[in-house]
Amino acid sequence: MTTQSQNSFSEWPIVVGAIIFLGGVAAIAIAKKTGIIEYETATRAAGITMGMILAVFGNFFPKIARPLSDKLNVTAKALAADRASGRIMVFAGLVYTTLWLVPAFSTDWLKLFGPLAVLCVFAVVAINQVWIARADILPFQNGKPKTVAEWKRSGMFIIMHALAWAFAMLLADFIWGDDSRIWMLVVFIVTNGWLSNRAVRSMPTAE
Amino acid sequence: MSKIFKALSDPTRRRVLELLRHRPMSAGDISNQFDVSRPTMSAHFAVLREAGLVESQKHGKSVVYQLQLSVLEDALLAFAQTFGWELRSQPAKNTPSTLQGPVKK
Repeated sequence: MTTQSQNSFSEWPIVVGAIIFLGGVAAIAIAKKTGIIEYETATRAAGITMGMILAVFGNFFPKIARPLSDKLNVTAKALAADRASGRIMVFAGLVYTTLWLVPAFSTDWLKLFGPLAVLCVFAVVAINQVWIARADILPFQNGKPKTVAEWKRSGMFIIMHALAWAFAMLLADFIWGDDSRIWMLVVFIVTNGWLSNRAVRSMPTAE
Repeated sequence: MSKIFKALSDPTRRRVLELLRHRPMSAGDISNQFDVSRPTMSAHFAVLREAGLVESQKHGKSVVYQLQLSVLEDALLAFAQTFGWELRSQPAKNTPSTLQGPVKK
């Protein structure tokens, strides 16, 4: 039987980093609205920020999303799957950021193929998680101990879900326009609310 | 970040991380792979845990260690392994670095 885990890793720098990222996105939006920066520059800055968010999330994914199984062989597979998922997302984020930095690639081309490629990456990560890590370590399971590890893992999957929706909305906005974005936002709020509700219900009282 | 560099600068600790890359291992199993005393190994484990590179869990009577590396830390470990990072400063007496022995083959 497994009892409490000991680690000295703190998530606070990540929370501060996320706030800085959000502040950056808000600053870009305000600068665009007030005409300080042009549409093209704002679009590229937003693309670079999205790529960096993906890379930073991928970097911390294997560190925070800890396996939940008591069985060591399952844990070993889960750790390998998490490392692979993290590397794929970091690579995708860095490539995405780099492409938005290169003026040779037009914003129209990047708006179509960038989110499409990132959504393919999320699909690969999801398949990797399901097929390699197996059901033992997946989050949101009933009947499992409500531990900090389970809560953190669930949290990482909620962020991943939100990121996937963000890229899907960018793609839908480019292809179908504003209406599709609004409908997708509604579905996102419902699905993310459902996932968050499940995570909150499994929030630990103590570990 | 300095804790991470310190942890990765020691060959024994890097070897421990390489062992844990394959599977989680108990403290005893890891110690058996090295020709060093248990207190020395405990000091190495403490440095790794302090840097947040491993996490420990109690499984019954044994303590099991597993990797807790970010992608960047994983890359730093690979870099350190390839180029054989060593801490350049003079190590203090009785620190894990000065007490380490050869790795058992």
